[in-house]
Amino acid sequence: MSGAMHRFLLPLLLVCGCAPTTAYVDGKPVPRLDMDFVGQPFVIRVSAAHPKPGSPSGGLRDFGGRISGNVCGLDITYDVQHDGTRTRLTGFVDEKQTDSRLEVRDVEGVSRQITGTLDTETFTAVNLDLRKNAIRGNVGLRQYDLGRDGDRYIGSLKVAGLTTTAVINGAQDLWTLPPAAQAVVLPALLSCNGDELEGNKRGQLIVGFGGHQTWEGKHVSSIYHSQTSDVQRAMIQGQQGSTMPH
Amino acid sequence: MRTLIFALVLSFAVGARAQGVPPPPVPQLPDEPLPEWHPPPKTDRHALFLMVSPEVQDAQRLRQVGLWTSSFGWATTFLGGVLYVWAATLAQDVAAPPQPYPPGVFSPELEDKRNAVERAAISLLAIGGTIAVGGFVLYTAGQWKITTHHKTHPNEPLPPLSGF
Repeated sequence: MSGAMHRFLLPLLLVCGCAPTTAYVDGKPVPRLDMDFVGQPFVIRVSAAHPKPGSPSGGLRDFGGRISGNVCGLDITYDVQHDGTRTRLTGFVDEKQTDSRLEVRDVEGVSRQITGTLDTETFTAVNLDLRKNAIRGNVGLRQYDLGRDGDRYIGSLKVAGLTTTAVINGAQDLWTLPPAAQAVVLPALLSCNGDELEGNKRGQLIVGFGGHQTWEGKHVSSIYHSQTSDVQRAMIQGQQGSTMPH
Repeated sequence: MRTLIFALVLSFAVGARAQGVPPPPVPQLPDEPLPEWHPPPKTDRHALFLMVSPEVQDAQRLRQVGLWTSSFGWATTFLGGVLYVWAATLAQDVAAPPQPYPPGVFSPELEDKRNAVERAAISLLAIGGTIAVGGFVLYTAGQWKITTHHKTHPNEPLPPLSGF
């Protein structure tokens, strides 16, 4: 085969090629992993995942695969990139026109911090501090303070004048997910039950990892129920600020 | 006094508006090192990636089975109709035998043929009609399930040609 042919085919193969099927671990090629995870209510597939990602801040720089599925009625798809001190996730939620960007990194070996934006259209910011024995932080307007109680996390959820109970079952199974998958599933899962909590100002949040897969309908996530007066006021102020003469 | 009444009214109003479940005390455990991730062992359980809820998917399957069954039933009925027309033609031939049968002479062979075709036609019409009606019943049951589910879960996605 001529050199010109090589020069033509190599980029073509690179462009047409799918995700890599192997990753280098300790200098040896190791097959990438395809895994499914289920919970209440979610199902995700992690495709072409790095076989040994280690800590999200462990220094690995490589493609981390793709995560897709349905979490609490949200169709999600993310590309994972291990970026040395953090793992970045870029993707889309439902048919939204804007992308969703999340980051996960470990701090001092005891705290896994998940930050970013679940949905840019509704300013659903994510700022979660996931620990072995606690989950704290916020998803959009929701504020969580949960502690570990056996195989579950229990505690409080505050949103729009409502303070209620939040339960995440399957704490052991939560830690079977790779960090990137945790960063995708946990925020979306903690946005569940928006039709009741934000919509009707009642109810509680009970979700879970592992066990039997359950299914949730479309548009029950809080990203579809976040048009509270606080958000509307902030958006109006933002628009006024951007149109004010300088 | 006015302030007290106002505070009472306000507390009742807030209570009526927000009906959460009082949260339990948050367990306070000391921090532990984050566990190192290892690939989970392979299991036989299969994840279900569905576009619609399992209830709607079952109903849609019932509807599809109904459609196919009903289609088969109508096709069988049509075949029965074709045979019935053929049997009617044969009946005319029995009354006025065509060539090469001798004219004006009764032909038992033709009558036997007509009877056989007529029996087959009636059988096919009966079977096809039953299958067609059965399929329609299955389709209607599936559609009814979809309608009922859609009324209770209006935000859930629906299958194609769901009627909504």
